[in-house]
Amino acid sequence: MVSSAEETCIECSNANKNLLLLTSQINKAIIRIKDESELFAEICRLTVEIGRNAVSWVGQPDKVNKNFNAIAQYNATDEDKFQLGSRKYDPNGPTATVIKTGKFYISNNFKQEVWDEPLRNYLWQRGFRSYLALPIRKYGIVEYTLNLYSANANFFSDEQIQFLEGISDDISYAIDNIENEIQKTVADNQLREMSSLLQRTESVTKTGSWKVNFESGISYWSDEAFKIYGMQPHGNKMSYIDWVTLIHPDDKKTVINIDNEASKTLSDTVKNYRIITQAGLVKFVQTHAYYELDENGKPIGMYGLVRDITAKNEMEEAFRQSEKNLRVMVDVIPQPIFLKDLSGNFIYANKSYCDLYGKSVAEMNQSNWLNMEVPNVDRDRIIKDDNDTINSGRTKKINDFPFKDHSGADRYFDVIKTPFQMPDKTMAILGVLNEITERKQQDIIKSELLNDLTIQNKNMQQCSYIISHNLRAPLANILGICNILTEAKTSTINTGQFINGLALSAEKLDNVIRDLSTIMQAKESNIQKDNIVFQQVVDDVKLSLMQVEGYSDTEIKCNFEELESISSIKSFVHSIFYNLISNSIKYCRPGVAPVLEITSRKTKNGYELIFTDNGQGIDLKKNQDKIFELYSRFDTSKDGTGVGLYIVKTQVEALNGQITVNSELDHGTTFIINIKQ
Amino acid sequence: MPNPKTLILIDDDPLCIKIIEVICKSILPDINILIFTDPKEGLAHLLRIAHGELPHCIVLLDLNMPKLSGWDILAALESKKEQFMQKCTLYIISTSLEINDRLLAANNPMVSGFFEKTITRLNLQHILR
Repeated sequence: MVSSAEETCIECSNANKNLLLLTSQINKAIIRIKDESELFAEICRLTVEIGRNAVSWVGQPDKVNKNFNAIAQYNATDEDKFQLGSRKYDPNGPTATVIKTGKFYISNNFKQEVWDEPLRNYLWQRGFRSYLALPIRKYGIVEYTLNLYSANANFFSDEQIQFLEGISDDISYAIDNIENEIQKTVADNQLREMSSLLQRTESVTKTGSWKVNFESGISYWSDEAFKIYGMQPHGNKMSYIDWVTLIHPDDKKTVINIDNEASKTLSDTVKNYRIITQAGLVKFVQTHAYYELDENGKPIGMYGLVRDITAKNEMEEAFRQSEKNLRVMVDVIPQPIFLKDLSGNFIYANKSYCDLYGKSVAEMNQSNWLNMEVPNVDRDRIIKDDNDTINSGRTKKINDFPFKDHSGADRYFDVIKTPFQMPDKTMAILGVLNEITERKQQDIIKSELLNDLTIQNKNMQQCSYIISHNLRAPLANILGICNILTEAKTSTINTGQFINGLALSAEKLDNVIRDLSTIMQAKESNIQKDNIVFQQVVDDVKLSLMQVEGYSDTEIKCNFEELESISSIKSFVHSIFYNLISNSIKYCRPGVAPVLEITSRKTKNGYELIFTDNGQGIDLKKNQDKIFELYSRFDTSKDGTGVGLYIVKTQVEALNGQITVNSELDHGTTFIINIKQ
Repeated sequence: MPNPKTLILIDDDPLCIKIIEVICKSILPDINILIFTDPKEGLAHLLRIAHGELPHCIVLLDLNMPKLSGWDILAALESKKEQFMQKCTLYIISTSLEINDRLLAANNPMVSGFFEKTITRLNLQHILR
């Protein structure tokens, strides 16, 4: 049959046209439809309406239970749906083969098929003669089958199969894309959610994040990071230089140094510094920075966080300032204040307290009182007072507490100790010291002054007593003799012997009045001072002693190298030298030539004169108190008045000095005169 | 005929002693007068009297003397007070105007009187009676 051949040929060409149209339509559907089931439904429609198949199915085989599940169809009857829509598939049948081989399965004549007899019978009765199953892959694995049924036997030519295989690949590609799209959307949504969460978190915690890529040199900053720096987010890009310009000038150097140091070791850093926003606002920020390394350990970037700690910092600063102010206030207080725990560790000590020990505040805060060197302080008493305070739970006052400070100065304090509860509920001792040294010293001076006055008063009394005796004794004698002379007319008394006594008494009276005059002058120190050369004084005294018995044997050794001259009252110095030298001559040891040594010495606050002789000495055990008393005499065998040493003492005291004596019977005498200038 | 009276003078002033001596002798020509210008020797003698070695006597004691004052002598006699008082009648003679000295004398049972120098004939007549 020619016509049949021609027809076939025309059919062929028609079939080809159809296949091209089908491919084109499916490709359009692939581009247009972004939903898997919608795409499958359209493919089923196109394969029937353009591909001239009787029925078209897309199945999703359950590979575990070997079930064929139709997920799309076109032109299927209800019976078809019932028979073909969901069924077990034969392990050797088309579905299993397509899954196993990944290739199409063709059956152009059902009668020859060996699989699933009930299904084959149904298809035959339904009038289907040809069948093609094509694999549809998702990510390279057969997940679906496209099943085409035709009423014509041998409907699927090789050429047609080839086209359809191409179409199935295209669909697989489209499925991949759809799946990609779905997953991308999910990822995008997740990313968006995460990003939004991060943004909220950053906003709430006032923490921004950032990242730098070294190759590009560009930083990516989060919105919050920009907000902290007082900037509008702008493309989230920020360079290192841009960032550095925002740092407070006072902190810039430090921050850059930290970064430079960290870059050498690639270590993490935490930096606290100030920034100045474009609006001129100063903020405190804290930046954490970490290096990002590649697989070779080479730094490729950095990332980190930035936090606005202005509020925290201001609070801390306010607290610090308030503590500092308190410290200054307490340090200014002149009263020493301390706080120590029960083991003796100092918790706090103000400057005044630290000064007592010559320590700095920092040193003191690391000291333990029990381990400290505190010489000449009653430690046991301090420990007892501390214990009393804690045990009683009451404030304890300790008055007149003596304390030798680090410079060795004696000081006195009224101390108040009170129990003090620390924030951790442990107990400590708070002490406040009130210095009373000045008052105490004045008390001492007053008491010394009073003592001096008492002694002076006693001396004056003694003096007046002695003078009255010494004046009255000759006077009484004169009166007595007068009585006798008056009676002489009427008695037989020999009056001649009393004339001499009368003269003697008058002379004594005169001597006493002379002594008195000398004494009065010796108490007067407001006399003009002259420069006095000691050697000159000694020479003058020697001259006036020429006539004295025993002088010619006397040797006087002078030692005035250390101090040759002084400024003083000439008559006093002469009198002192005269009396002491003449005493040494007068009271020499019988048979021993007098030797007198006179030495002058400088002292811390004046000078000292030492007179040492080899004379008979004085028994000081008996006479210590009396030696310098007026008319006090120890050796009445020698001619003397008992005025000399009294005058010496009076004059030494008038020169603001003191005289002391060392002596022993038969071993000489030493007088030491100490004058303060 | 009663025993001649004994007068002991303890005073470092020889002139004063001389005056007293002269007046006393004019009152009682046979009076026995012992003179001590050194108070130490005077004390030694008084102690011997207290020990009963010597007859009764009258003592005139000066207060203001070097080495040993009248008060020192009285203090040294304190332990022999009873014996001494039986043997001696002691008077103090002094130039002192101090009330304190008079009070001390009045409160000392060994002292029978206090006479201010110059001691007069009238005083001595009273003492020697």
